[in-house]
Amino acid sequence: MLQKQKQGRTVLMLWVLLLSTGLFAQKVTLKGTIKDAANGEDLIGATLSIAELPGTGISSNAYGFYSLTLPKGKYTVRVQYLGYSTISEKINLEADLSRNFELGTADNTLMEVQVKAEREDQNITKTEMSVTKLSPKDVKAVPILFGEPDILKTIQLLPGVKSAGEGNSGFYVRGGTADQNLILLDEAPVYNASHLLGFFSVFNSDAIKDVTLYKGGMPAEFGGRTASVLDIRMKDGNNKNFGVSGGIGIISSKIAIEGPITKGKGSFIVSGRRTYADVFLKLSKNKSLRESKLYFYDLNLKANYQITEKDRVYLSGYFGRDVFGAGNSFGFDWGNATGTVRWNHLFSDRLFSNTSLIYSQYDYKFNIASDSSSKFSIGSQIQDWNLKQDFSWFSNENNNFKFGFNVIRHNFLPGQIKAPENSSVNALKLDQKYSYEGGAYFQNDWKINSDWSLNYGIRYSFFNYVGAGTAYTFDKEGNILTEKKYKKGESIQYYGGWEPRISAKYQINAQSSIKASLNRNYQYLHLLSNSTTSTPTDIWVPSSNNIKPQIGDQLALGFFRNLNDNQFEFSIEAYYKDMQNLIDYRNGADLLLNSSVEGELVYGKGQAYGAEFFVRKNKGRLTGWVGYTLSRTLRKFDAIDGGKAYSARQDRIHDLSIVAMYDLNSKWKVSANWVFNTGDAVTFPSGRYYFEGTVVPYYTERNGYRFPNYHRLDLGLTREFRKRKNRESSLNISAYNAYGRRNAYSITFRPKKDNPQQTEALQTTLFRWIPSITYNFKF
Amino acid sequence: MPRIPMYPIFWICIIALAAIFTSCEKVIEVDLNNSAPRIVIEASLIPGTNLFTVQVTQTGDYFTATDPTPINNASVVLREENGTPTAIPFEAKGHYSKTITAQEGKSYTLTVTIGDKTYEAKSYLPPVVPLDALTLKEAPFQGLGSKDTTYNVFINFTDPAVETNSYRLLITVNDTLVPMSDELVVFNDKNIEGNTVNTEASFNTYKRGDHISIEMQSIDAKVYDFYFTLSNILLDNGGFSAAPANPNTNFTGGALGCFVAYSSSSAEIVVP
Repeated sequence: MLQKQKQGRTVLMLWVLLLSTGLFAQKVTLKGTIKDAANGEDLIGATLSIAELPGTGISSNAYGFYSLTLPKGKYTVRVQYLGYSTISEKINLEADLSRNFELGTADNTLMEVQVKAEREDQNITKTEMSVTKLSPKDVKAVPILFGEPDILKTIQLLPGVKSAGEGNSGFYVRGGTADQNLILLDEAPVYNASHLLGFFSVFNSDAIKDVTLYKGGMPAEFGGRTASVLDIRMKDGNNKNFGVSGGIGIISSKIAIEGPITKGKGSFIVSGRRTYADVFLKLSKNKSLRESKLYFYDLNLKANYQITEKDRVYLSGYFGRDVFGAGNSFGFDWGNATGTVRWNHLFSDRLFSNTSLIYSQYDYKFNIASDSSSKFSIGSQIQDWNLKQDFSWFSNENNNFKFGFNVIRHNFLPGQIKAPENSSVNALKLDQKYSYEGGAYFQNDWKINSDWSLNYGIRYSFFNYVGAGTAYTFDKEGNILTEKKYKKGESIQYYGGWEPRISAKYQINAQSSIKASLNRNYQYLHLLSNSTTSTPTDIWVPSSNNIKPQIGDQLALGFFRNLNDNQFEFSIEAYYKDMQNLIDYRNGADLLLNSSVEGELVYGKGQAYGAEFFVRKNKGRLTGWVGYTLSRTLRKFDAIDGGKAYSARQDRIHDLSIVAMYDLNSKWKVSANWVFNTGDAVTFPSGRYYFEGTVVPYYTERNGYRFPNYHRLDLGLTREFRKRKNRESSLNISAYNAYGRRNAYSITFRPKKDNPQQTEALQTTLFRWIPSITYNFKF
Repeated sequence: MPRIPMYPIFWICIIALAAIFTSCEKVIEVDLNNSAPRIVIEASLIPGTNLFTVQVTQTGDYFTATDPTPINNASVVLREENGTPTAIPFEAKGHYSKTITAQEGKSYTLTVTIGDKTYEAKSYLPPVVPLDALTLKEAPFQGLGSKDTTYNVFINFTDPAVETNSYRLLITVNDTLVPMSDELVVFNDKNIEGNTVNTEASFNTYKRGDHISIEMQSIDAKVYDFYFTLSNILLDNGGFSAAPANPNTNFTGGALGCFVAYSSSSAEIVVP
């Protein structure tokens, strides 16, 4: 009976909605920004709701802007952001109104939350699923290797996200590969997000404001990678007061300076980080060590200015580099540079526009000079220019539309050797490659009624690989069959496709909901890497006449429930993902400086499925979460094991993370995390033979074996020193792998030194009992 | 391609990081599957009149420390391009041998038949490329604690401009041949085509009094590919290589191993 009533109501609501524009002509718009009262930073994803109209609300966008169109009336407006005090205000909405809100942090420091939801029950009420947000504050609380807070390492503790290896900042999402993550820093893609072989990410957590990870159900505004989107936003800078903050750690030190350009109108922030192992090397007695270089740095810059009531501009940049060298004879450096210019414009109270011009670059360079005659350098580069236009149309209280487009020009320099006339090595420049990538999208976040909501969208993406250049075709063995030259600007290969993105939510009751999502993503750029870890020489290549775009299709279902007055959040999500046109390599593939590198590639399919369980406690002295993932990820390549399905390396069937933080009192905080996962799938020999008197391992199948199970406990202790007017500081001590588990970083097989006939397996463990200490300050 | 010291870089980085803290190695027990035996063929052919030996064995379990199981019932035939086939008779313990006269610049085909299965490999015997001299240079990175200056050894030769050349180096230090499992150096002339070359022979360093002798073998592209893919699995100390696989062989029919025809030239030096 009750159900029938509900159905009837649904039908009625649909009619009402269809008629809505005509019926309620007397509508007015409330718009403005939501900011942090202390420093004027825009709050991303803060919610504004109307007490009198349950279910009506809006989240602030990436620039803190909101707009809500309502029938005229008197309302109680509630503005919320977890970790901040809620503002509740009576507003008499008789005409369009512009109103900015500033939220203060909750006085009670015990209220600090580690992973924040924008509204306490937003995980249930929002249509989107498979999304997690983190703030740097959250990241700082979790104990981490070398005490270096790292966003990419913290997200690995969430279900569905797996680490690329011990202490590594690389990650895999829902069975995808590392290059299938779209990592955006203020909208600019970062092509190599790691320093020093992946042990550190390029993101200095002091410069970061907000991090959102989409594991599935990607909004249509994002495109270009199949597994995930990691949307990182830099801080805008304090627009009220000047401030300096920083930290001193065992690996690196960092400092940030921020302040207003014109009070309340604009601000800037400059933030830098540098490691200093090389400073100690300078003190060494050993000449070689003294002349060695080994460091990396990051520099983040950002400024914004409100030009008029309706226009605001942002300028942001990132520069980071790793430098390694031994005397004059050897040098190796690599790094990213990104820049974004953005212009926010309000065409009307309900139409928000953002235009971005984005630059992104990654390059590496070797310098080798054994002596004057064998002096040469090797380098490679990828460079992007991207124009992006996004509109948000806040249509009415139930519909928010987004639409826009972007065009990227990619310029690849796959590799070159520079060498003087008399060098042993010949100069070489592989042809530059050019391509255009773009997309246009439309999406609507539609509240159908109090129970149902739907976010539907579609993206058309395209990729045009153009000349000047040479296109090759290859035979089955990878030998060049034909070669064809193309003129400048001539299309060598065009790809395009529709990417539907749909999420739906059904609200069961105030505490629980069910959600489903379906989405398709195309990926036109591919990372070539024949190593298990992220290396600087990994190269990005465009889709071409040989390399087809990768396609990822994902279906996800989820049940979400909050318990005990939103104190506990609980969710189960199940997903199935199908991957096409994945890339692997021929045995002995030569990826470096190879003009016909496409002949070294083989193509296949992949499949991933799993279930993710997540319980999180947001409030109280004890906070944290437990995440468990049960999943498989398989690959199928005609050229590998005769087309038999095999486990991908990261096919860790069980994956458990427990993260807990406890406030002992206002001074002392303790934290701990424990992780457990099934060992990586690896290839071990199943036999051996002799060649030229040496024992050679004999392999029978790809990834047919497993590393031992991995587990580890990390502990952290933070002492907050007394806050004095604008001054605060804290000391953090942590221990990584606190019980010294010998986890396998690698297992290699080799003949015994004393008896080469006998063979043994050798396990290398990297980090045990690694202590670290960091001092953070702010004034 | 001149070798770029890639893996050493990674190791230096990792050592710099990990040595400060703890990184440890431990011999462990691993339970490996047994596999169906597979045929392994090893043969090398040099110019001139020499005893030519073919060894036919099969694979065994990884941790069983026995001599290779010989295959004694094979029929082995060698044929020079456009020449007549020569049967290589069985000798003992999987060895088949006969005195053969081979010439530079010719291709040879080795056919091994076991029961109803045939394995065939073709190898080109390249003309010799003279190794002119070895030279020394102070190593850029001097070892910690050691007072003796250490040196890298360089090979000097002229790459012929006409064809694709591939090379393998065999290094002997103080009368001991460095085993393949420690160092396997192969390179081709991809980026040194036709040049007078002076390049590092080894990433190892040598000290005063060391007697270094290097044999530079000229090999064909398929043999190069075999040794290169073999070095990937023998020398992947760090486990960096994404997925180890059996070396690419020049045999058809599914045999492991390689038929290597090569010509060679040597030079030596004593560290003063």
